Amino acid sequence: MKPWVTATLLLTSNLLASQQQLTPAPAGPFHIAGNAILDSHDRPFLMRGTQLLEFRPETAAYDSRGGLDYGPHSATSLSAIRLRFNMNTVRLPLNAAESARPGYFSALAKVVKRANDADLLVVLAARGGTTEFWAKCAAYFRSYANVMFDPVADEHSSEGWGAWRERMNDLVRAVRAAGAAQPVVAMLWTDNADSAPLLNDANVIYEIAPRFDGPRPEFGRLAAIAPVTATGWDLELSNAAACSKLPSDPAEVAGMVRAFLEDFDMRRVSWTVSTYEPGKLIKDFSLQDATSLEDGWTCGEVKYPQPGLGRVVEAWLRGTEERGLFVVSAAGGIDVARDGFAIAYGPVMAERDAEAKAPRLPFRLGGVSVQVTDSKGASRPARLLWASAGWGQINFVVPGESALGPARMTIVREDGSRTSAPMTIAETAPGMWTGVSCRGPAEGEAIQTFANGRTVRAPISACGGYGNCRTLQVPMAEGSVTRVVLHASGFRYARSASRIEVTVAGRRVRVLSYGPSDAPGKDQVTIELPAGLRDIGETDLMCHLDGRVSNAVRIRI
Amino acid sequence: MRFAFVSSFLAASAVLAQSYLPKPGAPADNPMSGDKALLGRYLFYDRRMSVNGTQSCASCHRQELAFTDGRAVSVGATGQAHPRSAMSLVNVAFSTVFTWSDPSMRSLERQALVPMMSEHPVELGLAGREQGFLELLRCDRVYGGLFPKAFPRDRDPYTLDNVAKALASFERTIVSARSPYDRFHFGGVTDAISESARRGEVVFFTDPSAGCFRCHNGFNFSDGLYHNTALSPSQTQKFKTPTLRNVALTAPYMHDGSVVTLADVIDHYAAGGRAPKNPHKDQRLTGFPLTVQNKKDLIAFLESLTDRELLTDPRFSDPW
Repeated sequence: MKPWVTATLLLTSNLLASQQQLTPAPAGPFHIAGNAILDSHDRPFLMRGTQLLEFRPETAAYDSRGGLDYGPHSATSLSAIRLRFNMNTVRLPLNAAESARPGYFSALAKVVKRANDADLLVVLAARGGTTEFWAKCAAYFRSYANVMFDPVADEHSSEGWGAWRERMNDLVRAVRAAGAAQPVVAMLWTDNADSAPLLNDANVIYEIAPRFDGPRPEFGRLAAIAPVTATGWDLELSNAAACSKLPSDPAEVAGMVRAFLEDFDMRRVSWTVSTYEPGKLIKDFSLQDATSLEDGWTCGEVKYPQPGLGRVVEAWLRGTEERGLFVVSAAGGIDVARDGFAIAYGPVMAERDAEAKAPRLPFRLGGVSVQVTDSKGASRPARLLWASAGWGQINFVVPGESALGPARMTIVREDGSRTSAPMTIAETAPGMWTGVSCRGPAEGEAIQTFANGRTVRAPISACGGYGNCRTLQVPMAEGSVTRVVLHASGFRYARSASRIEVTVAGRRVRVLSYGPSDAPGKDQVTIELPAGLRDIGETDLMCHLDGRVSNAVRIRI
Repeated sequence: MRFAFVSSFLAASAVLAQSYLPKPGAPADNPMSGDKALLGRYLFYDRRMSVNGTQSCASCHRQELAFTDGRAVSVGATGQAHPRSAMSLVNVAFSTVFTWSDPSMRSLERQALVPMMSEHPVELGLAGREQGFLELLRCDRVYGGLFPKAFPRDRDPYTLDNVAKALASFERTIVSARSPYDRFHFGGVTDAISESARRGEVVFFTDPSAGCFRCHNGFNFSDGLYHNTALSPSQTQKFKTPTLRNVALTAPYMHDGSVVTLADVIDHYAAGGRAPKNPHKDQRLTGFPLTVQNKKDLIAFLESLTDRELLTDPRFSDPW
């Protein structure tokens, strides 16, 4: 073999060894075969997700509270779960007692659709739900390919495992009787899952609840014959008794979390970890940054800076070091597009905070440069927009000539030190621009064209400083056609406009054009708003392209 | 030409040519040479420089304490206390300004004369005895070999100007760049520092966690600028950002030595200064939330900046 071939192979294998991968999106309907969950293409599927806060019809409406906080069931939060955490599943707890309220299931369906639109499988879970509740719920969602049911019988029944199993069989029968064929997730009411007899239904995923403060449940034999999912496992730092059994060293605790994750990966076990709420997986519902163990914690007191296992899980799913650099697209996602924007967070250590002004972007900024080494081993300098002093972010444009596939970006400083991170270069990686952190009001311009040819242009958002952005009403006067030019990235190499699926308020709108804009890395996507969206108010805008979902952004119509 | 300059510096320096070292500075009229640095080393440790033969430069700049003296404020040969704490001499080759509070002091050679000649307070007490001291040097057998070699073009190399030049040359060789953090950050040795220190690095370099790096930055962990750190409500004066290299050895801290431990220093900044309402304080001193873990980790990080080899490196030790 020629030396350069060997070198290229070695480089590629090194890139692959530490490569991050997009967690496969759900493609239901699913079914069970042996110990595997198979999707509609018979591909094995593993759930990688988190639990949402309990659904209430009111929470479905929480979208943007003053533009700062996003609701627990908002498209923005769901989009962050998919893109930032690289998850593919959410477990949504329901309160069966509330289901009698008028409009309960239709409000629930809105949240389910939002999650499905964000490429997330939804597991509907209700503790203590009756057969009537599950019959109703299953009937409502039986046609939802990316929904599963988790009918938990009372956990602490004194009647023992046999009685519990019978009740679970009843609940599963109720689901099937309603015409729902999706897999059912069934909690095993025993610490020794290996000794539990299976339910009568074949389309069942068995649920275990491992804990950090006690013995690990035995599920090796079960995992060999049936699909298993680990649910609700968390460090329970707010629970003084459970937390006090943990070591006090953050590194040791992070190691325990990684051991769980490694074990689940090895056994091909699905999981939903912790809860997507402040103090659990995330610090707040505004920036939705992952919690960290690095600042330490006080057992029983979850307060600033909100300790938790979020960063450990996030780093695991992104294939990066917890404390190292990690790269996201303009959407905050794991794949970056060639000629698209990317942001690397971590030890940038520029000489000073430095910003470049488009369209002329430099290769060196604040004493640092970025090299992108593609899957063929070719290294190219990247153009830079921003470089932080200290720990922060560096914004760069992925060189357009880069080969697709696993790649590596390296920050090179003037003192000769380097830090690098894996990334994956794709042809497209749809991302909408916002004023802050991939979420909130979309940036762009509305263009109204009247019958007489007159056009009126207006911005669709305004920012009064970092993080202080608001949507502006997109004008849609009677007798005019309204187009919106969205500022975006990662679109220019789409094969056609018809492949770009933009939805506004869950409704697909026409894409008129797309392509490079006025600066390196910046694209535009122009959509036409149908009259039916007039006066809908502030709503979500999302996009799918080539199997990837964009960030969810806000637009007011 | 530049190459030659850097090479001669490095030859004189005790530290090998690490690629990450910034370009050292030396004035055009006092280029680096090994002979000059060696002479400077003898002078640095020579107690005969002081009025009563009790002190040398090394009395306030002790190698084992990273060239500080471990006192809140230094004490001169006659027992007079200096108003300031002794600054570390490590990596002065990379500094452009010297002393705690005089931005006009931009020459290490000129600075070297200050402790010799100072009378308020007396430090070494050489003022008025210069000729006698130079005569002593001229008659000394050791110096008889060193001065002519260090200043081969001078007809009479035994001058106070040359004493200052030699001292400055020696001080420029005191380069500290072999700490565990250097091996970690520049050498890519991931286990060179502890997990705790790695967490502390993040806190140190992150806004708004601690943001220490806003003033303590660069290779030498100093911006070389002057800041009011709100040590008292009436403080209006600014003081130079000291290097943090070997900071675990240079207690007590601040220009007046009023902060005893590293933990106290961190508390000081977390509170936004001892006098947080001082209207003249640096705008960056806003304080920051600090967890017990953050503090432990920050201390571990600061301790990882200790260059142990420096402390016993024979090239910096007392040659007498």
